[in-house]
Amino acid sequence: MEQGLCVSGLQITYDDRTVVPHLDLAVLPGEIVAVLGPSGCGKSSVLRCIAGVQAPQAGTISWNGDDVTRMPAHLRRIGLVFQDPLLFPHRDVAGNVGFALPGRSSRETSARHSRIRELLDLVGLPGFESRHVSTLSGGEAQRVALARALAPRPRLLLLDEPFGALDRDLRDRLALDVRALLEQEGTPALHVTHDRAEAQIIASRVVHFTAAST
Amino acid sequence: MPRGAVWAVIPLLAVGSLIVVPVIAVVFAGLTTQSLTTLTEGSTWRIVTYTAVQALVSTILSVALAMPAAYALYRLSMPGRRTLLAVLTLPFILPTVVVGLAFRELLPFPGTTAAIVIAHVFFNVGLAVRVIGSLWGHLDPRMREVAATLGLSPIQAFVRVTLPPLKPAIVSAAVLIFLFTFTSFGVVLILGDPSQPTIEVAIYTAAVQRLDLPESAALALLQFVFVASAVLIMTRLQHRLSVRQRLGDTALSHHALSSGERLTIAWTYILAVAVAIPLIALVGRSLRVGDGWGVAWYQRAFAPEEATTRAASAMESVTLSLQYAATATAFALALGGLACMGILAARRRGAWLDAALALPLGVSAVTVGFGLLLVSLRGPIDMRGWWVLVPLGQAMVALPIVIRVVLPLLTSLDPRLRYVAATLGAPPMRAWWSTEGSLVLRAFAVAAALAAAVALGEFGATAFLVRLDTPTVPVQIVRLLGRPGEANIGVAAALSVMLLVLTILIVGAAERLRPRRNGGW
Repeated sequence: MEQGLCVSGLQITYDDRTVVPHLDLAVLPGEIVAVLGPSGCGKSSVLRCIAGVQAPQAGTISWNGDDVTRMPAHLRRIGLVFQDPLLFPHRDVAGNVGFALPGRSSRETSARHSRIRELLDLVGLPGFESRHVSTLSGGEAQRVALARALAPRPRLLLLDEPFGALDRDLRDRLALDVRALLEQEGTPALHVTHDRAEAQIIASRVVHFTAAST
Repeated sequence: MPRGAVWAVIPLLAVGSLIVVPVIAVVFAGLTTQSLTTLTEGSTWRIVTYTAVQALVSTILSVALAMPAAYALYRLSMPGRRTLLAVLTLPFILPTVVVGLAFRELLPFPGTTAAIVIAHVFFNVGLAVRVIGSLWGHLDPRMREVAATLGLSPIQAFVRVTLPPLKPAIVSAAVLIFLFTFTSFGVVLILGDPSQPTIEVAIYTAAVQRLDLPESAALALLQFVFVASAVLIMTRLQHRLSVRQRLGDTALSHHALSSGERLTIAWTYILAVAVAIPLIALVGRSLRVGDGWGVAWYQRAFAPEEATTRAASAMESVTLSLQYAATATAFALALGGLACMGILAARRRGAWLDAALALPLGVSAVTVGFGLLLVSLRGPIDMRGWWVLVPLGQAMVALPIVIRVVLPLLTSLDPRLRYVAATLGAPPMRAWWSTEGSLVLRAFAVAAALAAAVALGEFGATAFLVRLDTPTVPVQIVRLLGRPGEANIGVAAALSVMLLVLTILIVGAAERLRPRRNGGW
């Protein structure tokens, strides 16, 4: 039986415009795959379909051989880090990181509390628990978003150009951090980017993606 | 304080003398021992409880029914969006007595609490849709997707991710609706159970029908305390709930609709139809004569018989209403223009001026009308029969709306545009006109139309101030409804339809002029 993520024959269309005509892709357990391709070639749409927040026009998505194509996003246990951090503005950093963890943020249970601290240590933001999200820099906010996505221990993490808005130095540093982090958590990942250097830093395997419309 | 802020003194004086002084007059008249007994009577507190309960139920229903429509209209691309929004907002500008009559003719159970609540929801659901939707449209739809990838079900995501940032809008809509329904007058007077009045109606009947000034003053004082605390709670809650967040652009989503989203769209159409039904029923009522159809009530409205409308014909009260409304609009525009200049000149301290000048929104119209009546009876100058009091009272009700329309445009103007025009060789007047002038003029035209609509339909204050032989249309409608007989209802319906058409024409013209990209109402 197929292990990990298996995408076959995926087709994505927007109002008669086919963005992704046919895609086959696999991510094995423990693997970090980078998908490299130009902007506007439908990479983000592929991730959105795998995460379940968008439905493909054709094709199947399966995990360990089970078809999850029609499964609602919240049952898939697949994390997604968007291009923007998209932190919840009404929660502080701890409230964001612990958003998917059981227990209420007002009464910190010890398990919840230690998981939040562990994740903030992992992403290099120790002691940031009570900071308001609007006071974070772009890089810090994206790290918090990463910690938040990892908190419920997803079986696969999708990264949609998470460093696209950051400058070169910060980008390379974060890419290294993320790789270490994913290896430590043992989470397989699918990372989408248009930056060759970043792809090579982060991934154990690089897949090239060509624009469909050209 | 910067020099230009001095302009705001004139509108402040107007609000002071026409709103604050009357309220103080009411309070002073209320401080007699006789009023104290009113305050301790059980019947008084039954009235207070009833007023609060019907307002609370109306508010909760209005907001709850508005939520799905707010989502559909501001988040999804749906056919007929602009028309639906216009239909849903229409009731808010309609004269209360017209709405009251429409429901009295439509509902099989007039004279009940349910009838009042339904009419209140009809009035305010569009307001809730606008206030909540305009914030909802700016929230990032991807937040919900983040929640889904974190394992939250759609319902959990709504409660934990969508609702918290929406709370400020929900609270301000709810408090506004609570204020409107707590102090609602025309609707309750026409639709309510006469043995179960609200505070506003009790003030009116005590003052006008029983001439019991101490009792009505005590009730007005009580109501003022309630309204003032509601406004205080709103300000504090809004401050506490406000979430520092970056608002995105309004972009209607074009993705495939989920079944839940299809339901919200269907709900929006149902709501719009439900809002249109009472108005259609009113037109139908005005045309139903005996067993057939005809325009007999309209004919009779224009040429009243001695037995039906007594003194005033429709022509007379429509002309009079228009004259009052025109005068009130002129007052409101002049005061509003000066107020905006003052608020802009005062810069950061302008927020205080803005709040002070919004006072007429919170003070009940009946209290203002009653207070003005007390002042004109007992004040140093005998003002009884001063016709100008009517449009002045109406102008006060319209003033906050004028400011809300004009101020956002003035703040968004960029003076550099004018400089560019000047460097291109335009003489000063043409430079001003080609850049700012036409925009400013348009905003004033919109404000004028809304002010005129408000003045035309104003009933609470006008009912106290207008002279018996010169009623405005809303006053005349209520007077007709108070008399027995088929003909009186028919003529009242005909008058209501005329008022309805006038209001829609005026505000419709304003909507066409409204500049596309400014905030405010």
